[in-house]
Parts: sequence; C-alpha cells; structure tokens
Amino acid sequence: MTGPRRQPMIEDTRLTFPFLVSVIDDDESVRAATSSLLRSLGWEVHLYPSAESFLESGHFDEVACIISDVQMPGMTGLQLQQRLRELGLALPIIFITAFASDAVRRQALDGGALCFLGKPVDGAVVSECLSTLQRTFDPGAQ
Amino acid sequence: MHKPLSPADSRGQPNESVSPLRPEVRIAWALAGALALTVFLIDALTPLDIAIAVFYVVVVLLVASSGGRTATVRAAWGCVLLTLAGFALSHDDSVSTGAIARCAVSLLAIATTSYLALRNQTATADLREQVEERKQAERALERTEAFLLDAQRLSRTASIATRLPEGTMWWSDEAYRIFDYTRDVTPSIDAILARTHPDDLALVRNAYENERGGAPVIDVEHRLRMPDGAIKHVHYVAHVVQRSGELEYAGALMDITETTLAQEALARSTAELAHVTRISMLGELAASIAHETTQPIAAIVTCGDAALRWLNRPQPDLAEAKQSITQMIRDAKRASDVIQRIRAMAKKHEGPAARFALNGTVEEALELVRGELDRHSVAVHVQLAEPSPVVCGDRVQLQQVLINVIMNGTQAMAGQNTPRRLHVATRMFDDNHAHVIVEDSGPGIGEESAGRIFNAFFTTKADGMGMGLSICRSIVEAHGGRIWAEGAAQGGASLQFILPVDRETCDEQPAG
Repeated sequence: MTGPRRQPMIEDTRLTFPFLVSVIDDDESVRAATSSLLRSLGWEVHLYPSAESFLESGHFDEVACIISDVQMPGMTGLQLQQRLRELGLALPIIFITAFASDAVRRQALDGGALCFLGKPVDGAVVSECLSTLQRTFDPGAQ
Repeated sequence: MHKPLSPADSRGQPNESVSPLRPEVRIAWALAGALALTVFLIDALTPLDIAIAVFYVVVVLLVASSGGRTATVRAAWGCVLLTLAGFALSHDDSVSTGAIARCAVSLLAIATTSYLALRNQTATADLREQVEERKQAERALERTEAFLLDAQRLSRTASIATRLPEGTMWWSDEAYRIFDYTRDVTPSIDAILARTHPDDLALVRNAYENERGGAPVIDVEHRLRMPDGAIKHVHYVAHVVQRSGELEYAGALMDITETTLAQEALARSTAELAHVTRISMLGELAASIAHETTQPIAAIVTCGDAALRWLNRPQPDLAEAKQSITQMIRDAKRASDVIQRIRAMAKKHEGPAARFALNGTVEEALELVRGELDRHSVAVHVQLAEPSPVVCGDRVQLQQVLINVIMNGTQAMAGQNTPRRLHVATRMFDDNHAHVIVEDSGPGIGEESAGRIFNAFFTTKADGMGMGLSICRSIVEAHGGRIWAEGAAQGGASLQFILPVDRETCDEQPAG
C-alpha cells in the first residue's frame, strides 16, 4: 500500500494532490501516535491541539483531510464540521473518538464526514478511509 | 395576692352603695321606726314603771341586721335620745332613783347592744371579705389548672405522682390519655405495665424497683403498646419529693413518639443519602477512570500499529519505529500513573479502622434496604448471636458488603412464585473469626457459576455490571477475611463471609 507521491508534481498536467493531513486532538499522546501512523502511511501531518488553533492557522488549501476527535474542551469536532460548512470549506473530515454514541455518529455522517471511527483506532481502517480520498483525486493511484 | 375586686372598702365596711331602697331593708327599717315610736310613746306617755326603753335594743338590732355601720350608729344614738326624751317627758317633776335607774339600765342596754351589733357587723364584713378572697383564689387556681392541663395536652406531657411503698399513684388527665385508659381506672404500676411494650417490660420494672429503693432521679425511655397494637414512645422522668417521712415521687411522662419516629426517619434518610452519594460518586469515578485511561491506551495501539508499518516497509524506518515504541512505553506508564492516582484518591476517602459490633452493622444494612425488601415481598429472618461479635475495620465498607449480598439474594429470588425468604445470621465461625450468613430461597447457584461469581464482570443478569460481588471480595479480603458461596439446604444460595475478630489491636491496623 503506498501513499500519495511525496513530491507534488508541479509540471504534471493533473491537479496537484494535497498530501497534508491535519490532526486535531487535545491529547498529546494521541496526536503523536496518529502522526506516526499517518507518516508510516506516507502522508504529511500537521498537528493541532484544538479546533480553534486549526481554524486560526488558515492553512486550508493543502489539506487533503482532517482527522479530528469529537470530545474536546472548547469547540467540539461536530462544531468544527459545522463551522467549516459555514466557511464554505469542503474539507473531508475523519472523526476518531473515544465516545462513539449513535447520535453523534449520525450527526457526523449527516454533516458529511468521511468516516466515523472509535478509539483505539485500527490503522488499517484509517488507511482505507484515506485511500477513498486518494481515489477521488487520483483514480489511477492505489 | 392582690386585693380582691370585692365590694369591701379599705376599712372593711360593707358597701354603702348596697341600696337602702332594697325591700327587706325598707321593711326592717320601717319596723324599727314603728317599734321605736311605740316604745317612746309607751315610755313617755304611760305611767308604767318598767324599763320599756330596753326594747330600743330591738330597734338597734333591726337596723344593724339590715343596714350599715353608719345606720346602726345613727339608730343607736337616736334610741339614746328617745330614751332621754322619754325620761325627761315622764319624770319632769319628781325624779325618783328608780326612774333614773331604769333610764340608766335602758341606756346601758342600748349601748351594749349597739357595741355588740357593730362588732358583729365588722366580723361579718371580714368574713365576707375572706369568702370573696377565697373565691378569687379558687378562680385563679382553676385558671392555672386549666392552663396546666392545656399545656400538658399540647406538649403531650403527663404528671404522675407515686407514693411508696404502697404504690398509690396520681395521674393527670394527659396520663390517662397517653395510657389510653378511662378515668375510672385506678392508676397503678400494674396498669402501666399492662400498656408497656413486651420488650420493654424489664426496663419499666427496673425503673419501678429503683423508685422503691429510693433512687433520687429516675430517667427512662421506653415503648408502650396500645390495645389496638399502636406503638408509642415515652420518656419518664421523676424525682424524689420527701413528705414527712413518706417516699413520694413527682414525675413527668412525655409522649415522644413523633420525635422518635422523625429521628428514625431522619437517620434512615441520612444513611440512604450517604449510600446514594457513594453510588453516584462511584459512577463518576468510573467515568473519569474510563476517560483518563482510554486516551493513553488508544495512543499505545496506534503507536504499535505505526511501528509495525514502519518496520514492514521494503526499507524499514528503524528510527520512526523506535520513536513509536518509545512512545508506547511512555503512554503505558501514563495510564498506569492514572490508575495509581485514582487508587490513592479512593484510599484517601476510606474511613479509619475502628472497632464495631457486627450485629449493629447487619441491622443497619437491613434497615437501609428495608424498602427494597418490602417492594420485592421478601421476608427476612434474622438470627444474631449474642453477645455481638466485634470486628475491626471500616464499618461503612462492611455495610456495603452486606447490602450487596442481601440485594444479590433478593434479586436472585425476583419473579419467583414460591415464598421469598432471606435468612441473615451472625455467629462465631471459630474462636478467632466472626461469621455472617445470608441465605435466600431462590434457585441457587449452578456448579459452573459457583467458583466465578466473585470474579469481576461475571454476571447472570442482563443489565448487571458484575462488579458487586467482586468488590465484596476485595473488601472482605482487605479486612483479612474470606467470602464464599454455597448451596443452601433448601436449594437456595448461601453467601457467607468470615472476618477476624478484634483482639484489642484495632487502632494499630489500617483499614482496607
């Protein structure tokens, strides 16, 4: 299983494929672990301790996907999803949460989430979700 | 006492405002006047040589009997004047010694009679005043007694006086009411004993013996049982009142039923509240444990996953793999720290070890779940060893164990049509251990489950958490005891545990 091409092919006639995943979680260990997993899958990772810090960063163009927790102090994952909708940013979101209740799952998926997963997360499942994204952009890639 | 509101004035004279126009008075005075006139005429105009003037005393007496002091004095003087006038008129030329003597006798008679009549009037006035005062006193006494009776009734306090050694008693109205006797019943210790709760007969008899022995103060609380079965709680206090050699006790009997029941209800509510608070705290604790450990564990799994992927590449990235594994260890330690912290916090809230009677704890536990037992129609048979075994430990924790085991038995019998009975007993297991047995009349424990019911998360209930009996085992074993389950003789389950008996070393040992 390979990830996206590391170097964006600027000369390529195809649209450049964003390779950045933004990970948002208030727990430091979880951020670091998710970062390691995603890098092992070939993605570049930016880490944010909160939804607010992500929104403030403004780095939305290169972001291929957001992986976010739901229960966070301050803005929750679902609130972030809504905010992005309001801003007109169609960024795909994968939710990885410790408290996966049916109501929250339904709201997330109805809001357009790519995947809704429970902690501890299976690396293979994350990889599969991200592959879906890839295929959207680069039908030829694995 | 203040001067009564009687009609007497300060000199003790009868009220002059008693109208002299009263018919009897008028008649009397008319008679007196007529008599005076008659006597005067006879005295002055007839030549009779008798001391007719002596009859003036009748006039004075007539006036004195119906009139006041002033009228009497006036009448007396009037009669004196009439006597002298008569004497003057009938003996104008020759004054014989006989005539003078007769006049003197008459005057003496009038004077003496007047004096005596006046004294009589004063005495009568004094007597009337005394009677009035006494009436006032009696009215005041009646008022006071009425207040007292009212106060007794309102405060449910009765007065009881006892004279010994005969044992005669006097009861106030409220006493009859408290004991539920009619007024025709003779107050006596036997009458009281007839209304005493069977369990408290010894207590009451003992108090009476103390009275017969002359104890200075008696103070006893006991229960009464009325003919209809109602229970009353009363408090009897009495002290010695020496009366000329006889031994007498003045006592108060207070009906404290309402207060006692309220106190018992309050104690029950407080215990229930503490119990519920502990349970909800447990829920909170469980939630925080779950939250604090889920994150590090999730991170550990993801790191492991990542490490495998780093190693699985055609060119394994050892640096990244190492970093992942290092983080795994760090997160595992973090999770472990969290658990330690929570354990320490739980330990901090444990009570200090204390010596306590096991029987009391059993009774308290039963009291706490009485509502539940009633709701499930469970009949409880209690058999407590006397004297109560004494153990050392956390009374609250052991109470939790009892509640848990009792509720377990209750739930085992839920829904069955056969009688639901719970047998709770304490006894000595051996010289060093106290033994508690909780048996139910339920379906019993199967062979395969018997060994596992104390394991965490083992439950046969659809909504059970499986923590109750495993927590019980932790507590019992922390106290140096042992808990197990057997089949009961009649087929139900018998949960039993033993605890070391306190050997005067309680304060040295920590609890749990």
